[in-house]
Amino acid sequence: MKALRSHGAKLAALVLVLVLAVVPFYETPYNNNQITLIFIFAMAILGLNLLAGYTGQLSVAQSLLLGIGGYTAAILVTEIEMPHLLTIPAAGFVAMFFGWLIAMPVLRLQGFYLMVVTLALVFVLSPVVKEFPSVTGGPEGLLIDAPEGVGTLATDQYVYLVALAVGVLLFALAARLVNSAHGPAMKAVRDNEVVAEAIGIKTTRTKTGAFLFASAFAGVAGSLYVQVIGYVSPDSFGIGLGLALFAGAFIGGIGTIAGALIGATFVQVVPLLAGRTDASLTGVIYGTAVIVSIMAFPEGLAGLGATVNKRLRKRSTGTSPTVSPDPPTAPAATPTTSISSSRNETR
Amino acid sequence: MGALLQDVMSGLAAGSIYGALALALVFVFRSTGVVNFAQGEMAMISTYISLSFYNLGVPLLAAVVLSMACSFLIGITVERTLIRPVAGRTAHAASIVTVGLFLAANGIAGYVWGVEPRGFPSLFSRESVGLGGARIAVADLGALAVLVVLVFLLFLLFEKTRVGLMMRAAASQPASARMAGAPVSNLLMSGWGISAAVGAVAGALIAPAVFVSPGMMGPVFIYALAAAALGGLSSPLGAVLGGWIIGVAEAVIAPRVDFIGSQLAILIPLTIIFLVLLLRPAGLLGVQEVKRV
Amino acid sequence: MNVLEVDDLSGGYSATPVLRGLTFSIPEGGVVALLGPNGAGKTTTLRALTGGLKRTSGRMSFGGEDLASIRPEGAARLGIAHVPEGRGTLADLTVEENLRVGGYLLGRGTALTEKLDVCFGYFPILHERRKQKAGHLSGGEQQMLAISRALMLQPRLMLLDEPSLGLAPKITQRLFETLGVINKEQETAMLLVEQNASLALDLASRAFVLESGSVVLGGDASDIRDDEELRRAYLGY
Repeated sequence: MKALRSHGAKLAALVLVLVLAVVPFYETPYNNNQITLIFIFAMAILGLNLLAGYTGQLSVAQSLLLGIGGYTAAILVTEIEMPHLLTIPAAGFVAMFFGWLIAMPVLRLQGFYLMVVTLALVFVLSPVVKEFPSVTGGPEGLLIDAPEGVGTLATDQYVYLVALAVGVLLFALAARLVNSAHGPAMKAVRDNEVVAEAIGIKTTRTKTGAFLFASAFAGVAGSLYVQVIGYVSPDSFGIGLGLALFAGAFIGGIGTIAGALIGATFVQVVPLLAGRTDASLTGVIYGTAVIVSIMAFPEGLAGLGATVNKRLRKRSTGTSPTVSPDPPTAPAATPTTSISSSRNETR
Repeated sequence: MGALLQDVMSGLAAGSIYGALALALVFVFRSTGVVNFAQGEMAMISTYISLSFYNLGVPLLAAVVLSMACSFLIGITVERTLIRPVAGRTAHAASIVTVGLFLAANGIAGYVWGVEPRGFPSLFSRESVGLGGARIAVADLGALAVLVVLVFLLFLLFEKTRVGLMMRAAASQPASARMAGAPVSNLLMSGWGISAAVGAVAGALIAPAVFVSPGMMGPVFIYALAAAALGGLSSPLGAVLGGWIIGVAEAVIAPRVDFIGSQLAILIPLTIIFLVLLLRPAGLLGVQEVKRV
Repeated sequence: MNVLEVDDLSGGYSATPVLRGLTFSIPEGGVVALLGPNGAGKTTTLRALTGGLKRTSGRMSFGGEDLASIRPEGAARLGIAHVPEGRGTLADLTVEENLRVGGYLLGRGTALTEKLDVCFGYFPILHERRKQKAGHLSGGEQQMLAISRALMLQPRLMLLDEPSLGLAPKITQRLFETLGVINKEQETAMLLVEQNASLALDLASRAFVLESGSVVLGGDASDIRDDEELRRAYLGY
């Protein structure tokens, strides 16, 4: 996120948005929908990044909240004929509400216990949805009409541009959040909760806040998902998607905002490419990418430059330690010479 | 009464399978301090290996034993190549790697063996025996017996042998174990190997009921996680008791409560996970961690 | 005959050197105190001897054996036992299990039980609590356990890092008396890093004062203890 603070990165982001805004006028409806899905997954991953990357709370339940958003939108459209645009904030708020219900108990848990519970939660959506077919359409799911195009815009172009606009909004919101005083507080909670508490950070509130943001982002993404796909079913939001989003967050770079877009591209494009030979390769590629990104690039692909840079620097200092009298980072165990030097003076 | 006994017995049998997989989880956790989210998928691969040996004409029991040996090798390879490089990075790096392994193992199985479900022969006869007015499947009794033997062996290993003691030491404080001259890296590696072999047993027990497919372990793994959490992640005995409690709770409650049809039965382990982790995070038999800052 | 010789040792954790030309030695069966301010490199010296340091130059030898490529497991095999600062006891294991872990290299034989009895002889309280989890012991008992665990190795050299840390003065006093007895009876040489200089000088036969990674003063412990001017200049008391 430091990146977006600099003017160069801001400019790059602006150019990217402008280019993306022109794309739908030159692409096929199919491709437009694919790119729209990338935007949608990017929103969900962005939310997860705030939660897992910045605040250190590992959740694989993002697909559940995406599903809640999707079903909210689908039900609102079919039951009360709510305009599609309005379902976006509505789905965000409903997902946020469910996020709050989940966050209250589970955020008391630490580390992998949180992963265990969120993993189990993902398995709840499908049976619950199937249990109430009158509202949810049961195992068959719900079909909804696609929004109509506006003016000269076709449906795919319209949804694309809406998703792009919402995406830009959420990215700006996330950037604002992590650059505000909350950013360091979130990182402090991630790095050491006890210390964070000791320096006066309200850790429960910070964690809950991050969970609410993550849920709302996923809910918004869910409503857009329905508008693109035109269909929700109980098995659209299972553990496969949950783990894919989790993987995407780590592949793109956990704790970086730009990483969400990279991760989302990965989540959307890999199955398409793998499907040409064998759909099972999707899992192999996701899994390998997660493992490689954790092992080789702790900061993900978005942090690739930084990681490589660090390694090169390390190598140049590592081979000739005496050449560099003042290395960039002093290890924690380096003796504090101040005490002994003050001692020397008193001597 | 007969119906209840029958449900309890089938619950115990199902619980034994959850317990077996939970044992594998506990074994890795106890010997290396990592929750292996890929434990179920590794067991799934082991089951495919058992099936492949069986299809080559190896008798079933021997096929499972061979698969246990292969699984041991897979386990130590996973530890050495995937887990060790991130050990001591951040607290959760290893767990995230196992999530990656989950995805990869699932894909590999689909690629190698296809996604079509395949049948798997039962280790036990399909007969059932009468007991107090209930008919109890021999396979259920067999699953129960296998689990009891497994947990007893693991208990002996951890509590009564030198290797088990050193495994526990290496898991909780590798630096201290190393200073005592223990071959810590080999101990950690064996922990993963043994748990993968235990997973192979769990896979062979469940496979006849659910068929063999890349997704076969999904729900079972959730139940196993619930069992491990319930019993306390570090207690083998707890894992088994946890498995039984969940299995019996499900088998007894599901047919008796209208609202909880077979669809919502998954809410039972989930509710248990929730309650246990919230009320007693260390589990029923787990040891509350002594925390120092 | 010296059990340990450190000659012109330099090294650190990354590119920054912590030890700068460190030279000292420990006579067979002797107790040597390593004193000096925080950050002088005392703990680092202990780590260097068990293979936890990047060495850039200099020599370390133990009983004539070169320690250049020593690893923690290897140190234990050679007979170097490390009692780390903060004790490093295994909180989830019982007292007896902790000791058994310490005696790993003794194998399964009677040597193990004999050693256990030796430890319980020095610290009877540990015998009383042998079935309790180490995490439930008091600070003093944990320190006793850590020392006993090191003793299980039957080490020729014991590295003690701040054994008095966080302990009440009375308990520290008793602990140091026992360390003296262990040193005599077991003929275990000791390298003692200690903030409490006066206590350390009472126990040690020789002492070295470190500053910024090298020895600025070395000599008989009694000489340093009795020379007020030296004490004030180097040890601040």
